[in-house]
Amino acid sequence: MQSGNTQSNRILTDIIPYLPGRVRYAVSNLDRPVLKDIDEIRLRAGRPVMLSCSGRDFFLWETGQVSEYPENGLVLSVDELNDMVLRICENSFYAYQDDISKGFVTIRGGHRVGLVGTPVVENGRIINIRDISSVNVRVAREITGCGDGIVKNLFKNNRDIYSTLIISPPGMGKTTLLRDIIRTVSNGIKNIFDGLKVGVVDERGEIAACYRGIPQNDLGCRTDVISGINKKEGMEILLRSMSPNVISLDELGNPDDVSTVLQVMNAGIRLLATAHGYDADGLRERRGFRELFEAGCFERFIIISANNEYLYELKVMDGEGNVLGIDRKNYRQHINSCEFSDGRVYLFPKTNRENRVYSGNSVILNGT
Amino acid sequence: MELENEILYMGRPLGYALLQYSQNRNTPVSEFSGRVYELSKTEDGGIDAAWQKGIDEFRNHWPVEQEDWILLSQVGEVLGKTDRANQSSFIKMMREKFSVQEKKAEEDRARKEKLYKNLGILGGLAIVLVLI
Repeated sequence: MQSGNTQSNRILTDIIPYLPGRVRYAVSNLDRPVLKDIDEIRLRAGRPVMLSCSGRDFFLWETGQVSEYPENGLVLSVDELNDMVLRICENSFYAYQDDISKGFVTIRGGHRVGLVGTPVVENGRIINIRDISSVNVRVAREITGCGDGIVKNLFKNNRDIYSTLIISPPGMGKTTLLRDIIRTVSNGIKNIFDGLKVGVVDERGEIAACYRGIPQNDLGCRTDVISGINKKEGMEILLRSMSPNVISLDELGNPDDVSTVLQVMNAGIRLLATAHGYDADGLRERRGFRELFEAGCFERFIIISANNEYLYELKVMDGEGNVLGIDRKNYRQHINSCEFSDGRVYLFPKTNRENRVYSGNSVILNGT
Repeated sequence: MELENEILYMGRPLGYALLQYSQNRNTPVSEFSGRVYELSKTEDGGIDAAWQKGIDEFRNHWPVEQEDWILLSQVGEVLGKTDRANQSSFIKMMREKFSVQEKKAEEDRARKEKLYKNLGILGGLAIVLVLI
């Protein structure tokens, strides 16, 4: 499991250099318990900077303090946002034009930066986004071992796995779990599973987070990654060139991918994929999945759901709907807050709240 | 032009393209691109600011005209700021401009060479005349 310090360091090294100067200063001065819990940094032109921490929103002050209310928040200009986007593109729009036209850029470390503004359209196709009005930096997390409790349910024998689909609503950790399963399947488990060649189609660069060809996330020793390409073409290239035992991809669901997925299945290659949804039955009728379900593409389903505020449930099911295993876990130490009369917020880890007042460099605002 | 390949064919970010170019060549231009890359790592204004700073540093070392410096400065202002198609046409346009400058410099050199040759002959004649 990744420590909070590692997560804080990833934010400091991977994300902070791209932020506008004033936000950089404020985020650098954030308290560690807040820093490690940041899921998203939302920057909007003419609006205060917002941090999403464990499902709660806080507004950032110039001094590095946070409040639940937007007043006194750090407000950014359009120029600051545009400069930030230029930095994200490494001063090279031409190198990121495809990503920008899709509305996001993946930076070193696998963090996804979403962009919206006014699209420039040519022949019915978006070729650029100008006047960028909002930027959303989504912090990627690598949690080694998060799939250990359920991965054995995916092994057919010591040399084969069941084709598996991970299903959950957005933001529940599909990609994190997929990454961990890829690593285990690729490395193998001593005396239990031998390890297989895994080909990963990393369309958005979030699974492997390749930087100059080297995956920044550990995907195991038998894994080949093709990144920045659409799933259909990526699968075809892997099929032709890398002879994988397993092909893995994130966010399946485009009807254009169906024929290639069937081709992969017919070649005897196993699939490890994710999809947005709540359960297998919901997906069964959806365009892009119907044909795959009818062809029996998936033999195992992992459903991720949140039982309550901070307990995740991973449920493994077979094609007939039988539950094969359940793993419940608390991924992160969630935060709680108390508010002062002037809107300042005091943040501390939720799990510690009953026994003691958290004393570790807490975010007490105005230097108190 | 190798830098053009790095940008248009390989699609590499500008900083990395400059680094690659500087490592694969040993010319004054590759020295310049390597220096711009180094400066871009510390400059807050990115490659644009680093490029201008590089020009300031190299101004005293290269025997080129003011017009050429202006052209080089324009390259830094536009490089990386547009999409691939626009970068391609910009690079093509700048290459033509530099070719014109090169031709002008060549003509200038030939003219001066001729002038010095004539001066030499005239000087020789003067010495001969004095001796007579």
